[in-house]
Amino acid sequence: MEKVLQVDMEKCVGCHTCEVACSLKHTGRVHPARSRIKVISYEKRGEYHNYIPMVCQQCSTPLCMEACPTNAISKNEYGAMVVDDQACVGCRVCSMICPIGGVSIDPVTNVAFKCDLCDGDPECVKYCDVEAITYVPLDKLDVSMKRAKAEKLSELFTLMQSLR
Amino acid sequence: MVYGWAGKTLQVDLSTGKITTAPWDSDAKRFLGGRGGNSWLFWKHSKANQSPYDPEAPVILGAGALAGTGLIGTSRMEVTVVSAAKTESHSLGNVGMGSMWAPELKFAGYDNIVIKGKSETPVYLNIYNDDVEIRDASIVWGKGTFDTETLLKEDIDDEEAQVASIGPAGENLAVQATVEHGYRSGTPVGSSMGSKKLKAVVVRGTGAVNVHDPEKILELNRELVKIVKDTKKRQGVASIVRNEGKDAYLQGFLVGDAGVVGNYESHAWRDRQDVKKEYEENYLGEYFVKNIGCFGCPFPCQPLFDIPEVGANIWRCYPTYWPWKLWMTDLSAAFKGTRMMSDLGMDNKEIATIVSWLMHLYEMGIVTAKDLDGVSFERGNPDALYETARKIAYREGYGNVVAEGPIALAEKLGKKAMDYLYHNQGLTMRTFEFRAEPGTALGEAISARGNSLRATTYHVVLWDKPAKDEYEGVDPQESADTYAWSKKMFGTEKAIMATEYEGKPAALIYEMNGAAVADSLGYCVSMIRPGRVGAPGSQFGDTSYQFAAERYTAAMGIPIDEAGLFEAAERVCNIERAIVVRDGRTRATDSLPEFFFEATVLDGPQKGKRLDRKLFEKMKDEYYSLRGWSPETGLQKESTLKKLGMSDVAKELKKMKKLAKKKEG
Repeated sequence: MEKVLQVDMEKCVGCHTCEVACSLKHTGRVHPARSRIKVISYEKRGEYHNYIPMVCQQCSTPLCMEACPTNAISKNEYGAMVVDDQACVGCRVCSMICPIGGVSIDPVTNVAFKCDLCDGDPECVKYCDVEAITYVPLDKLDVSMKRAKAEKLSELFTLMQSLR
Repeated sequence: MVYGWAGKTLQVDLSTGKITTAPWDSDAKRFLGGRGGNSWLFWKHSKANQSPYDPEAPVILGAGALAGTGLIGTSRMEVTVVSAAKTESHSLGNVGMGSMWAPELKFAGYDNIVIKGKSETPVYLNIYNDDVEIRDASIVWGKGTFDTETLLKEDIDDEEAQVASIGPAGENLAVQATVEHGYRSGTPVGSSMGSKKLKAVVVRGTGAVNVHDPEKILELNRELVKIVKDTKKRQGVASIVRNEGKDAYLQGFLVGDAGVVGNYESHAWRDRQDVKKEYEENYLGEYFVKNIGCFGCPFPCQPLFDIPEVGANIWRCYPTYWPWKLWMTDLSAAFKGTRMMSDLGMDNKEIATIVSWLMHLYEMGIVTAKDLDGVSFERGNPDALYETARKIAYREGYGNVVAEGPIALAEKLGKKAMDYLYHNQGLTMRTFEFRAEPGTALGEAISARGNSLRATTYHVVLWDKPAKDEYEGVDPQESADTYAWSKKMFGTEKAIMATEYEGKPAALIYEMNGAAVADSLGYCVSMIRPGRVGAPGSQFGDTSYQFAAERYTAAMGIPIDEAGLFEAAERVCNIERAIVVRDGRTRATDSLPEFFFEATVLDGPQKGKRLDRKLFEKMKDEYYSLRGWSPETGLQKESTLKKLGMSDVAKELKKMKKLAKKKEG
């Protein structure tokens, strides 16, 4: 079964460890600017601190692939859209059209770069102790999301019972 | 290729606007980076007995040597200045903090920054890789640190930038002012930035940090994640550092006897069920939002709380530190005070201790509200805290006097007020019961900075207690292992027992060197300090310094072992000793207020204890000897410095006649 990266933004603590892992794995250096996953912070000190990991969700209708004028993007056996560095001309159409910011232009190579799911063994997931990013089989994705939300309702349910 | 380090120091002169770089060379790398690196730069760039507000006095900000190397737990930075808060001695002042700033500086391409000179108008330093500019700060001058961060990010149109800033307290040269970044501040260093009219240092880096063995780093990180997962399974979540504010560390303060109530007036908080209830119900339950992580650490330990009508703030150990010193049981009020001081940019522990002292004077009738602008210092009154903080930051009324340090106010209030002010070089004595903890007392007296957890026997002496009392989250096996370890390391189990004198100097040196390793590598002190017994750190397994050594080797490509790191730490402690000795420190001034030797603990489990002068001086003898310093004068020996590869430092000390004479010991 194909697996996907599942993001639970409520769990993210904004530590950027995923970016460290991604850049170490792909570039051999610690280089968050070249990480395929990016934690975006919404912070106002003294008020709130929210973090959202942004990473390619390997769409079932991959607009990036369809829009690429040089056919540089293709789907690999792990279900990841991957970029052919030789074919890519760095025109940025893919990053313009992606609805979730999942593909960007590498500041060093100047060609498109995106999450390739590390050939079915995504590195970032291994360090996310809070489980804000997990690697889940496609057929379990739906129920695991529902379970996470249901957990909160279950807490509420317990509370209601205790008040009864 | 340079691994780990960026290889460059940024040098900024605010008087001339000149911006240059200097290589981070082998001389500097002797001291690793972070705290040690900063101390080296301080030694080079400061003058003997320099005034804190001398325009040429340096403000140094540095990243830990391992910051940005991707190793979990290596995110800390260090700020080093001529201390304004140590009003009696000045000299070295420093503070370390985590969060995001240090790695960002590395990604921008620098290990550290030396700022000298003084601007005529308010400015901030904006670093974007090679583009470094001194920018107008008039839009944020006068603002709190919270708004400053938001406004400066807007000003440079970069949400990803990291900000370290001062608040009104720093601008107005209150000696208690801090430099704030991500709620992580602490010991006062902020007024030094204020005197330069420097509001903030903003950093954004898009470069890389090279590491020697990327695969190994990932492997070591995976290993650590596994250890933590296993520990959680074995011990339950309570073992996790500051998990929702609840862990062995906090319990040690809350139900243990590590801290004090009032101005060293009581110890009886152990029995205060009202406090415990408040803590568990309010502090833990309703207002906890989530833990927030530092850069590259997936084990977040900074609990974020949000209290309606007050706002959000991180609240770490503070609730156990000082509300009791103010006889406060309303933790929401204490939280409000913490948040307020974080915004004003001031050290909440320093302010709270001053308020605690004034409450003591008030209780005894030595001062009245009339002496203090009509503010009531009734025990437990939160307004006394808020008003004091505000008045100091904005220099109003009595706050204008305290802003020059508590001694200035004591001089105004009279001799009796002075008698009850317990301080070390002008910094207040905080929460430890020095009378019952000889090792902690020795650390406080000898530490270069003063007033310092990093310099006391933080874990070694503190943690046998929680273990014995079987606090939640303490692994009994770890307890047994730790006593065995103490016997092996220091020849006696007593070395890690809080109330004992025996073996303390050696244990203290081990702790101080360990702290120097962590602070200089930029390592989280919750992670690599070997405080095995119920201390933060236990979740990470056996984090002896071999843990750090192995990781250092992977990142830097320089083979090193525990002994090698400790040698570097010896250098760090010796450069700091050289600095304070240069500025007047001797054996005689390595001391504590008479109070701790004369007045006994009045109640609680340590009732009747006080420091024994003779045993204390004997510990000092032993400490100096073990360090290779002269027991007669506390000065360093030439041979000691030479052995550490610090002949250059010895040579300068000799010129100043600040080296131990040959015939001494």
